[in-house]
Amino acid sequence: MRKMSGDSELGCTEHLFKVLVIGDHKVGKSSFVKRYVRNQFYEELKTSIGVDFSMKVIDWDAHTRVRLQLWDIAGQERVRGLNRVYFRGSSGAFVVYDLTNGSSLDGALNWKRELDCQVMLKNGHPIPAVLLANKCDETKVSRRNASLLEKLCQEKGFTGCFQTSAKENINVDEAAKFLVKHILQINEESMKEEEQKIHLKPQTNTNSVCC
Amino acid sequence: MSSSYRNRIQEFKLALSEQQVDLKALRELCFSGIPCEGGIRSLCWKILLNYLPPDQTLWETFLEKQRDVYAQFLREMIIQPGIAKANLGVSREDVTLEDHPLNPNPDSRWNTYFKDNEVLLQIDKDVRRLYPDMAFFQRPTDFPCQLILDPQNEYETLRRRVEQTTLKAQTVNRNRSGVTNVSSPGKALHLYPSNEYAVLPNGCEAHWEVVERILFIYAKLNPGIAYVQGMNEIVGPVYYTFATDPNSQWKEHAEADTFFCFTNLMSENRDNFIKSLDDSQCGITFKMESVFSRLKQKDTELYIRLQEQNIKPQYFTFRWLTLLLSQEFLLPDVIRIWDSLFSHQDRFEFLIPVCCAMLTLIRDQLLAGDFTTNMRLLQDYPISDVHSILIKAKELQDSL
Repeated sequence: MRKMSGDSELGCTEHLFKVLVIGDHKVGKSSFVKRYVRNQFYEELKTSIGVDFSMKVIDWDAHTRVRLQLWDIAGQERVRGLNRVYFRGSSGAFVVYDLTNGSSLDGALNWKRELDCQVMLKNGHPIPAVLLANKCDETKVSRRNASLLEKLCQEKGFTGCFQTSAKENINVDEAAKFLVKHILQINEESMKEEEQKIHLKPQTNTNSVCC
Repeated sequence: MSSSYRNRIQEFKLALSEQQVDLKALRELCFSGIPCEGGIRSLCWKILLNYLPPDQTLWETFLEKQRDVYAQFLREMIIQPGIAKANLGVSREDVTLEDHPLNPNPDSRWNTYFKDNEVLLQIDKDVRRLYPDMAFFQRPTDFPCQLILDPQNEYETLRRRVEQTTLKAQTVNRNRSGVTNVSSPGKALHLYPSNEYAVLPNGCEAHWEVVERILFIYAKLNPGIAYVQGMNEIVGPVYYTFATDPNSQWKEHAEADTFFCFTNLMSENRDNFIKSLDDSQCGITFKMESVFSRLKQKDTELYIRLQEQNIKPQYFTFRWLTLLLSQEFLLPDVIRIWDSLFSHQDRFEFLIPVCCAMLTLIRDQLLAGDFTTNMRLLQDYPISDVHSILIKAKELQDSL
C-alpha cells in the first residue's frame, strides 16, 4: 500500500495518500485538479492521455501534514484496461461528472463500480469516494434533483457529494477537505485495529507468509 | 545559413531529383533530420509514409487520382448525408413512410446519422483544443474546401451539424437514475466561451476544421477503430507540415494528402489504439514493458531504482508511445523526432530506444529524486534538446 505515515518533526505526523480523480471524458477532472493544486483555471486544457500526476501538501493541523498524490486518470474508454495498474494502492477517490451532461452521471456510477472492484480497504470495505457534480456554474440544480442526487449518493456507497465548479472555484477545497478527513479517520481506525491485534495475539502472527 | 546546412539541402535536392528515388539513401538522409526549407520535409514524409511511390514520373497522376478519391469520400460521407438530412427535414410525408428519427432498424439512415454525430462531437471537442499554445490551427486556411463550402449546395455541413447536435443534447438529457438535466438551453450557444474558439464567418474554415474532417472521414472508413482520443495529436503535425508547404499546389491539397498519410501511419500504429489488443504482443502493454526491459539492459541501476520506487512504465510511457511523443515536446521538436521515426526501417521500433534514451539522459535526477519528484519529471519531461535524445537513442540501439 502506498500509504505511509511517519513522524517527521517532534510530534508531527506526515501522511502520504494516493487519491484518484476519475470520471468520463470532458467532465472537468483535470480542471478540478488544476484549481485545487495551483488555484488556476484554463478554458482550453488538452485532453489527458493516460494519467496526469500532481501533488498537494496540506498542513492539516498543528501536528499533521498530509501529502496528497492526485492521479488524474484519462476519461476515455480506451484507457480503462490500464485502470488496474493506476488504481492500485489508492486511499480515496474523487468521482467527477458534468452537471450539464446527464450521461456522465451514469459514467460516474460505472467508474465507482469499477473502483470498488479494483481497490478496497484492508477490512474489505470500499475506499472513501466523493462524488463531484462539476460545472455547477453553468446550471442550476433544482431542489428535487439535489435530493435525488443525495439519495443516489447513499445508495451507491459514496462518502459524500458536492456540487463544484473548477471555473468559479466553488466547493473545490471543501470537497477535498471532506475526502481527506475521511481518509484520515479510516487511517486512524485501521491503526488502532492493528494495535489491538498486536495486543490480543502477541505470538500467533509469526507464521504469516509475506509476498 | 551555414554552408554545411546549404550542402545538406543540396544533398536532399539531389536525392529527390532522381527519377527513381533511392529509398534506402533517402531514409538515411532523413534520419538525421529533414530541412524545413523548400517543402523538402513535406515531400520526404509523403515518400517515407509510403504515400508517394519511388518513381517520380508517377507522382502527378497518382496524386491527382488520390485527391479525386478523397473528394469522392467527402461527397459520400459528408455532402450526401447532409443533403439527405436537409431533404428529410423538409418533406415530412416521406419521413414517416420510409425512415424517421425514431426508426429502430439498424439500417436506418437516421440511426447511422445519430451514431456518426456521437463520433463527430467527440472529434470536435478534441480538435478545437489542438495545440492551444499555437495560433496556427485557429487561423483560417488559404484553401477552404470548395466542395464543402459551395454556396449552391443547401445541406448540413459538419460545422452546422455540431452546432445542432449540441443544442439538442442540452434539452434532451435525462439520466437513467432519474436526475434530469436542467441546464438552460441558451448556454449551449456559448459552448466554448473564449473568443478564440469563435467559429469563422461562412466561406472561411479554420485549420482545425480541416483536421476535424480528416478524422471524421477516417472514422467513417474505419468503423472498427473509428475515432480514439489522441488521434488528433497524430494528424496535427502531419497536417501542419503539409499545410505550410511553400509549394502552393501541394499546400492546396494538404487535406487529402494528410488523410492518406495519416491512414498509412495508422495502419502501422493502430494496434496501440485498439483496446482488445492491449495485452497482446503487438499491443501497447507489451511496448510499455519493452521500454523497461531495454532500460534494464542498458542501465540496470536506474531500472532498479524505478522498480524500487514502484514507478511503472504505464504511468508515463502510455502517452509517450501512443502519441509518438507528440505531447512531450514543442511542435517543431516533435516534427524533428518524427523525421527519425518515419525514416527508420522498423519505423516505430525506434520509439523504444528513444524512450529509453529519455530516461537515461535524466538518470542523475531520477536516481536522486523521490517518487513524487520523479513522476513529475517523467510527466513533464525536462529536456527540450531533442537532438541529444535522438543521438543517445541511436547509440542505445546500435550497442545492442
